[in-house]
Amino acid sequence: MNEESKQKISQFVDGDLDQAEAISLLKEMYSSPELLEKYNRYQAIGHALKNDAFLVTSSDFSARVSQQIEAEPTIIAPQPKSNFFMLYQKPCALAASIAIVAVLVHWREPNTIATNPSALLSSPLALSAIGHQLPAAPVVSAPTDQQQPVTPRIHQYLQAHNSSIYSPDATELKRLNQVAYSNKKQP
Amino acid sequence: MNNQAKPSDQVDQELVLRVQRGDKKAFDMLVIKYQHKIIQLVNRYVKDPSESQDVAQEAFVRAYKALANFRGDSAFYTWLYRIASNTAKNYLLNKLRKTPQYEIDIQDAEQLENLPELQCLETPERLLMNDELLEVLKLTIASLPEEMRMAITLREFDGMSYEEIAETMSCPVGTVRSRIFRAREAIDQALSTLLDK
Amino acid sequence: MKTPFLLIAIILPTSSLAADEPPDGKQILEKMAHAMHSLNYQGTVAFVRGGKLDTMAYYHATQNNIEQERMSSLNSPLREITRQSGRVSHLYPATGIHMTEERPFEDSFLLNIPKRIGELEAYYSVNVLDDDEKVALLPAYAIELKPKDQLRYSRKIWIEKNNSLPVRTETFDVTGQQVEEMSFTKLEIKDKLPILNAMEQWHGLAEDKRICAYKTKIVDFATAPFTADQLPPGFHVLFFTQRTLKPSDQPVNHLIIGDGLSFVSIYLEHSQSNTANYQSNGVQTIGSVRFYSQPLDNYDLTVMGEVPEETISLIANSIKLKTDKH
Repeated sequence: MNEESKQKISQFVDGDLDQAEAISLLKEMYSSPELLEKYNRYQAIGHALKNDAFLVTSSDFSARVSQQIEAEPTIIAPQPKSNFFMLYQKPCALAASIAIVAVLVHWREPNTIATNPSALLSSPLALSAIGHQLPAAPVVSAPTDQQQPVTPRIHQYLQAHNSSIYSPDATELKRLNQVAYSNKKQP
Repeated sequence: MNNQAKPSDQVDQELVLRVQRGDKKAFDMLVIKYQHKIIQLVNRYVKDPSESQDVAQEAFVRAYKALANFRGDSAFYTWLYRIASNTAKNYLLNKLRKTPQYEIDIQDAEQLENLPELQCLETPERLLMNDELLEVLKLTIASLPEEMRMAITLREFDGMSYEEIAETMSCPVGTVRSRIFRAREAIDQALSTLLDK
Repeated sequence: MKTPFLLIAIILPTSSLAADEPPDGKQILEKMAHAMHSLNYQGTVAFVRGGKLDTMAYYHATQNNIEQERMSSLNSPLREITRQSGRVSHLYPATGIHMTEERPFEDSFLLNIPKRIGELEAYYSVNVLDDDEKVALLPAYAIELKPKDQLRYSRKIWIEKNNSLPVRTETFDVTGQQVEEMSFTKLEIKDKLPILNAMEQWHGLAEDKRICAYKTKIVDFATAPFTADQLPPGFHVLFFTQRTLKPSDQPVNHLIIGDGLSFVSIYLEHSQSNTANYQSNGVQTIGSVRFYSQPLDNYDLTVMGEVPEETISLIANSIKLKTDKH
């Protein structure tokens, strides 16, 4: 690790790097455990000077978070029309191509449920659609074949949403039965 | 992009945008940037460095899940701070509910920081290590050349910017950068023997 | 005999003019909205949602300004649902379980449509697709309600010509995929149908068989711990309630918003200790319903409805806790 990198880390701790330099350094720390360790130690030193207590972040903290995030679906979020996001100046090619392919796939294959991004992108139509520049697409739902089982709470919400349509199933009726009997016992 | 924002906020804005476009690595970089601050914040409630890291990890995961709906109404760190403090408070409340003497619901989570039973969760070994580290830290600071000691003190204790320190010490900003870096590096070298154990 | 001749002479030209004019979709829908609530009729209705078929015996009675709607399932689990005076009650005869809830924002199990169709025109265009279709052997108009944006689903409604009742509806998502269908397989108009005592059967059960599972009540939205100020265009607050959903003892805030055709539910409740009550996996789908959950400070927020994913997302974005406002 050279002195220049260490000094950059020291400046980064103090917010003294510009945006490009900061992002570049974060990328370097992401792939260099040594640099990350140095950053953690500089921060611990600052904390100790102010608080009389040492608190060193474990070297694998960010890797553990990263591992947990990896199991989460990728976010592709709608960009609200605000100055902060300025989405219409920075369109997302990937999300836009999903939006276009959703329309084209349906036209060609009307029975296809166009909610699975992987299926959409593997469609031959996807190849011609990628690269079109449009505003970002709406949130893409989790692929249907990978959806986790719905929680009991969500079932309860469904019933409350429209009870004439979403009736309790046998398990829920049994639970209601138990709940109602316990309510009945209360004075 | 808000060109009036501080460089640190601009970094956050850029990384948040990238996360919201599907770049998970950009979130990893946000974790790297704020991990220490968040662990520090959580530790004020939890008072156990090891558990603080677990709770901080949960806070980051909650933040990731909620990031699709982050609207930029506040700075990213402010938003993350709120998630982390709520995660820590919830953790404590749940912990206390499992403790027999706290069967009564605690209405005000703000009181949690001051509960005496939660204030001494350090092990004797950790307390000893902490004392040793602080001792070495103080000795190292005391032994630094005057200009390095002054620069690091103005930065860490008084929170001055590099420009303000440069003005105070009547030297260029580049010199301030260098002095602060060399002070940190000297402290780190002195502590490395203990920290690497 | 001049008068009858004149009468005929006047009527005929008018009729021939009427035959040449294209049908007015808005007028047809308004007639339908009136007929649904003013006629007595019964039949058999099939609902298809998320690929599942549910067949119900349907019954609508109106007498002395009291209106009652009932459906009885023809398949297990047997249940009866009754709507009267803004209240919906459910009865499961096999177990004796009974539930009631207030739903004053809804007025039909078949199709919710505002009485003034003009309220929809800002967001939907009304088109007559066909004026000579047949549903359950009844001649019908086919009307399309096509959204003017990507924030809602489109609908086709078949309205039988003689009495202006809806006999079939289909709902399509933004890709054109059908997500819901309602269809009468049998429909009879009656001069009169009795208003039944919905609770009579329940009261007829032995006392140890009578179980009231829950009751909801209307609550002023101003007392809610959150606001929903920037809803997507066309959606507005309809109804707010706080109810207990077991196993939690904490009240669940339930806000219903709508655009005249679609409803969206917003749930906000205090986070449980292990946050196991929500999954934040992006917008998910059950049948025709999209839903999305996320933490919001100390709460868990869930938004669900028969609307596109983007609408779910926008609605979730618009929910702000009152503690955020300083």
